[in-house]
Amino acid sequence: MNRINKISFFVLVAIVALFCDSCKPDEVDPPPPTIGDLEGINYSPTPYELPRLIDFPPMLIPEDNPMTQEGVQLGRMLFFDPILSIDSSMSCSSCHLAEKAFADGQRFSRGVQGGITDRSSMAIMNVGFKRHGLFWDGRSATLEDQALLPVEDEIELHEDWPNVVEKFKRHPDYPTKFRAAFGITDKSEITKELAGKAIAQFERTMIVGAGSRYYEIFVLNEDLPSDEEQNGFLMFTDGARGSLPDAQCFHCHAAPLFTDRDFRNNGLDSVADVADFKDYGRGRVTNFANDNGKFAAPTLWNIELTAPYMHDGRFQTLEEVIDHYASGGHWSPNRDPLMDSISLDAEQKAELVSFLKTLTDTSFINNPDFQSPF
Amino acid sequence: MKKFIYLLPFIALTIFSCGDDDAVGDLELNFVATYDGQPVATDGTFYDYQNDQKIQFENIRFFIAEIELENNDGSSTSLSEVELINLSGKDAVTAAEGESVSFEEIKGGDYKSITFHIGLSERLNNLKPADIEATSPLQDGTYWSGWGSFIFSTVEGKADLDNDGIAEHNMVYHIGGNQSVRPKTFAGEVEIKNNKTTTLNFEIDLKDMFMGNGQPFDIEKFSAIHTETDVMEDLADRMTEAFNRN
Ligand code: HEC
Ligand code: HEC
Repeated sequence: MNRINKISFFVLVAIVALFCDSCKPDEVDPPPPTIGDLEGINYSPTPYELPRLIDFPPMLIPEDNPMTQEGVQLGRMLFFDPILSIDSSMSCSSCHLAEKAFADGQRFSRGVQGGITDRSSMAIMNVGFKRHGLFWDGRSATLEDQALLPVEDEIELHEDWPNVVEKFKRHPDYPTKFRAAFGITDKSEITKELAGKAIAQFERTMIVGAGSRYYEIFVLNEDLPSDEEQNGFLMFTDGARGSLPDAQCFHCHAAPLFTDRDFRNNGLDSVADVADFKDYGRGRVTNFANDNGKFAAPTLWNIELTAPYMHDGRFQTLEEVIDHYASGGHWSPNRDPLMDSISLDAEQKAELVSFLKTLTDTSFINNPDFQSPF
Repeated sequence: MKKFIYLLPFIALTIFSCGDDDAVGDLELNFVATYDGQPVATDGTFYDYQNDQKIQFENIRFFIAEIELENNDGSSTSLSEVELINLSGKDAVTAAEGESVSFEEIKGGDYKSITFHIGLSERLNNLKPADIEATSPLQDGTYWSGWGSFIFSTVEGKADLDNDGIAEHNMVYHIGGNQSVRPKTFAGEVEIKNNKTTTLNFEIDLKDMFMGNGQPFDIEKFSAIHTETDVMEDLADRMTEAFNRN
């Protein structure tokens, strides 16, 4: 071979070799050598099996955040730890209290420096089943993202994440817990994202329903409803086919989650133009004017425990809520087509309330796994 | 000849290319809701019904299932089990864009037609959310336990029947139940070209649905349909008629 031909030959061989190499499945880089200060601690996470309730859909778990016992345990600590706030006075649990099914019983919540939130706190139950975003307006796509917001929210915890991460690194327990949950080898690898993942894992375990009268009666058929509960059930689900009024509830609050996970305007305010809503709700997220004044239809599990009601906590009692729906709510251009006046007499209203109370599950609020670990 | 030798590596490249030799292309199905040919905005825009009455739409959503291309030899190529098409939340601009679903790496060539069920096939509808994987589009739909069925199609909106500019009359049409599924074949060649995306455009004309065949659907009498099966089947037929490939 002359010189040029030799060069060409090598170029050819090199390119073909390179190309064939690219056909192989990607090889995973070997893990970096473990040199960190946590490497001596055992890392062997135990998978966490979520309970499956009859009729409940499977939960969508992000592939990059599988459920582990260690992750859930860390998430629970973070949820209850005031280390997340600027002056160590408040934690997530300050506005999400177990005895209130993880809402807080207030119309609006008071944050770390006395500021007031502009919406009512939401009960954290079955949040792992949500598919169209968290918050009243769905602005957070995932629980992992949502968990990062309260820390830097000026009204809520008013702290900085870099600061919180420093506090974790100095803490006697957290570095080990992050190692156990996520396999980090050095405390310098602790990030806010890992904290968000752990909190999200804990929240996914907060599944409600199995301890309710509803589950016992209408799912397991192990008890019979009272006449009031049965009539309430039939009106709620339009199951009486004419012999009782159709209260339309379950279109938007469909079993088994008691929400259709959609955003709707249930007639709380009367406006002539959708630009006039005080709180744009979903419209603030989508910038679609017809979404103004629409909010997430919340779950009705444990509804007896989560007063006051609606995004602005305007109703104190379930009786007031039923009166609102019976009236059909206030007309506005985008009031939901499912909202219409319902002729309910006093007895029927009380029956609907008795049915709603079958959704109370005190085993959820008393579950030792959901209480403060401190 | 010596110059040619420099080309060899590149020729080799093309010959040794990783993928198999068969041509594959992508297929996109685009859906637009229209009213008398105009894209339907779900933002309070009024559309003419009858006798100076007007209607507007809030939610338009439906499942299509068992989506297949029909090969010229009579066999078929399956594209997808089920897709949820949501045409809600549209202004005039986004209404014209509609919503699309895409299928990748379909064997290249000419196909005779495309076919799918408007609604869910019995096989799918007999499943319950608890038995379906979390990533399925079925999990984004609504399961109606009272019917033992998913809601196949939802058309919700309001009407101004007394022509005073206020839409005071609700329209809530939910179609479901195994008797309401409508398979439809959309004739016409579908050509899948190598490394190209072919787009098929579908239009659901709601004027055809509500005013079709000179026989308007009586929205005054039927404000909400979610149990009356004969009316529901009539609506399913109307929706199927209104569903066309451009
Ligand atoms: C000062 C009170 C306050 C604190 C502290 C707080 N929250 Fe909240 N939380 C709220 C309010 C108010 C909302 C509803 C806000 C909205 O929709 O705009 C909410 C909503 C949520 C939701 C949405 C639930 C749903 O169904 O969509 C989750 C999840 C949540 N909070 C978790 C947390 C976590 C985790 C922390 C701690 C990192 C935390 N919260 C700290 C008040 C608080
Ligand atoms: C058109 C859909 C729709 C219908 C029908 C409907 N709801 Fe609601 N519901 C909602 C929405 C949306 C909210 C939240 C509204 C807000 O806060 O702005 C809500 C809130 C509630 C709340 C307060 C929840 C909380 O955590 O604050 C209760 C209780 C409730 N609904 C019960 C019912 C009952 C009982 C019925 C039947 C009589 C019913 N709903 C019918 C959509 C609906």
